Amino acid sequence: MFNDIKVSEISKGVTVSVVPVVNFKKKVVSVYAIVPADREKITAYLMIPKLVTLCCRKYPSIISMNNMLALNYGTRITGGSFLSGDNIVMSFNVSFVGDEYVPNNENVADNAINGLFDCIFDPLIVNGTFEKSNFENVRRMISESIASKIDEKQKYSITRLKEIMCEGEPFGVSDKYLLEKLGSITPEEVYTEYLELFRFARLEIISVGYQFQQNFYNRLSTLLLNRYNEIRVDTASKLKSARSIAISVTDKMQVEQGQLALGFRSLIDRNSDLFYAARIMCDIFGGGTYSLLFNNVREKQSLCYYCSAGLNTSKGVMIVSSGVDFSNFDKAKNAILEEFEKIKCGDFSDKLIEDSKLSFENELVAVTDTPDTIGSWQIRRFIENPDCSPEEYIAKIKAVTKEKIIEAANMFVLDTEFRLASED
Amino acid sequence: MFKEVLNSKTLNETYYKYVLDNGLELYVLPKREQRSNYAVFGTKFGSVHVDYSDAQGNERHMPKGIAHFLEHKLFESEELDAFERFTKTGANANAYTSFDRTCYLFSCTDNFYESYDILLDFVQSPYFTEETVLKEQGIIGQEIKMYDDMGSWRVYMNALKALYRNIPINVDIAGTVQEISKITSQNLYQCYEAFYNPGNMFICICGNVDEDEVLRFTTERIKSKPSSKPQTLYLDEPSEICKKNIHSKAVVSIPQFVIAFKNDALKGEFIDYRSRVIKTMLLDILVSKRSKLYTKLLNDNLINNEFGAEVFDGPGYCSCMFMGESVDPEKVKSIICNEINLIAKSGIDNESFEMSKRYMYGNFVKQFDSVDSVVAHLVDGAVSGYNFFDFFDIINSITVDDLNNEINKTFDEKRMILSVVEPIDRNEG
Repeated sequence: MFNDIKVSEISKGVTVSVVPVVNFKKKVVSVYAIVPADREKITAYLMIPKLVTLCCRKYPSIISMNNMLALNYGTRITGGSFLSGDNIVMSFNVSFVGDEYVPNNENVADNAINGLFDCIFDPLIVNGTFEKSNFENVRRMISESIASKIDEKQKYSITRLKEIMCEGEPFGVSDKYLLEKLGSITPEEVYTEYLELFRFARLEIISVGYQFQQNFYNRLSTLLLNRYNEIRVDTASKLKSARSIAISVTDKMQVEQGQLALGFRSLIDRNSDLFYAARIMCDIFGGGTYSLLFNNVREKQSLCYYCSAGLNTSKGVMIVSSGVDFSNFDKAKNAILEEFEKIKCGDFSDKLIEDSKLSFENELVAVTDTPDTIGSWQIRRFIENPDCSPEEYIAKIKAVTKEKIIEAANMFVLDTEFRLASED
Repeated sequence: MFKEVLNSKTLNETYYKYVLDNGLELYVLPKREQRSNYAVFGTKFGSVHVDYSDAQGNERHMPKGIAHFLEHKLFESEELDAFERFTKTGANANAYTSFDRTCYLFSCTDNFYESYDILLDFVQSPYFTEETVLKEQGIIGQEIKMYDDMGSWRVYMNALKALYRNIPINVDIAGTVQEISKITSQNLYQCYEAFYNPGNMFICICGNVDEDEVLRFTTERIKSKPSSKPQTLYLDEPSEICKKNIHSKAVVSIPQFVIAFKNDALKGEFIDYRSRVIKTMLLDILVSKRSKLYTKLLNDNLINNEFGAEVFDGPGYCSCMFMGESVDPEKVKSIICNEINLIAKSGIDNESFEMSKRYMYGNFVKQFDSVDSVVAHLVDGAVSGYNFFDFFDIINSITVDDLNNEINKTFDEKRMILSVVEPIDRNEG
């Protein structure tokens, strides 16, 4: 399937990928705009996808917009942003039922794609800027969403760890900063960034299951007539070495369970020849139920309900997070670091490597099974993973040796520790 | 053995239902174009089933949280625990317990039958000792604390406490630290014997499989056991709620709320599928983004992206809930009630009704690409007795009069509760 993807560059920095699959009931088309996460513009980039997908000039209220979507058999148009390393990726998505699954084969697809383009390129503008009440609603909703990270203590702890460890880097932008900027940004400022965005951002348009007709390409080309000749985008994320001495920060709240998060830094990213070894290393450390953290820290020592490790492949950062009893903070930390030392010394079995490779293979083979996983793979190969198909990725994973895993592990150094403890 | 073939022209899908001689129900929906496979081996044993009468007529009253505790323990064995066995096949295994069921599952692309063999084996091979029970109390104790720290979970559980007096859904699925300290290996074996009986269990599979081969493989491996169903001792649940308001505090950024309306349900039974679809449609028309209510709440700064509504139902209980975050949950409640009263007087219009029908139709169809989503429907059907392919006939048969006739029954203010979890003031002692 991935070998059959038709990729065409229709304008400088604008690529359209069509994944030809026929069996899915749901079709998905996404437009991604990728830009460096400039501190001054990041709040505008958070707002733009949410604002334009609320409603548009043709359907100028939330009610009329959603009436159209409902009549089109529950078509969904959504917008969001996520950080990928030091870049911000804005997504504008439409998902819809295939025409063949609705009564009388109504033309759901064209309505859905046109709806998405109407949102992205013809938003609701009043007096030369974004409509005020929509703007205020989006501002409030994004602010409340950021503030509500505190409700899920694991998520909160990981966020705080990143803020501390990567202070000053776009990847570590703090929620406090975002909330401050959101409080002061104006509709005019966001509108200015919106106009600029489609003139210079790298754009990836990915369709899973829907074959664009010529009129789509014509409409897209017209909409992008004002693009700059030069795309001013440097989307390489910056890697950084760990501090010479790790730091530890503790927040206190009225909580029942403590949170412990450890951040490790390395210089391994998707271009490194240790990339695949690092993936396996992190997985045997704290990935599946075969991992050292699950079996030794959770099961054997009963030190925590959860204890897992995750790798950010854009920044070379590995984060271990766990929920522990307050009295066990030091014990859990030492137990986690002990398990990591085992990997660095090669004190782990070949079976563990094989278990991990088999698990990866299982997961990667399944990528082609839903439109969402296909779409996600396709965008991530452009921005943070090696540019290859799942089959090629599997082959590289299978070729990883124990020596390379050990080498990758020794590239990671503890940088920051974060604890969420009780106020009592 | 009983076999039924159920197909949907609309979805272009077919699934097979087998009922074995011992009562075990097997559901298979082949998707031969997929690489993924997903299998669940489940039992109709959840957190509400703590008081029951076993096959010998003994009345048992178990500690709360025992179904969830048993789920944790079943992965262990004297030789190799189930997670370790699954690593050999590459499958991703897990389990969950909810109010009315416990499910053990795996997903895989290759080695389906090797993984299925492990699933069938470990679920049928209990191994509990006092030592392993003691160890698990520590882990589950941590899990309980993790959920205690989640405002969104707490507001939901408090809502159930306010709604239900006698049905044990007013206690956390995992129980409490005090309750699980009472669990013994003997309790676990007693519950296992009662509820992990083929007559009370089901298997649901979706993927690149042949239904007859799955049947053959299953019948060879299901242990011969006299079929029985435990009798859960459901208490009568009054139609009234317990309390109108319930408030607590937690570390949350803005108040979280649940507004719930208690609905009728027969003791120990699920509401019928048609009723569930009607209630879901009512909620959609009332509070979806197409509604004036949604726009008003949004423009009055009273809701955000977390706002939603759902039908919550199970054996002997049913409620319609609105949940979200708001600086003024009381005001949200008041506005919702006003809107319900207005709609009850004026009636739902045909245009809104038709839009909701199309919206729900499309939403339903889109769920059938992924094997895990399909299995979720199969499991729901196995536990509640629905055939989810009936959805299309049901949605086509519902009239706007059906909805209008349901409004007052579904949203009775005398049976309404408000649960709120407010932020702890950091200056409080």
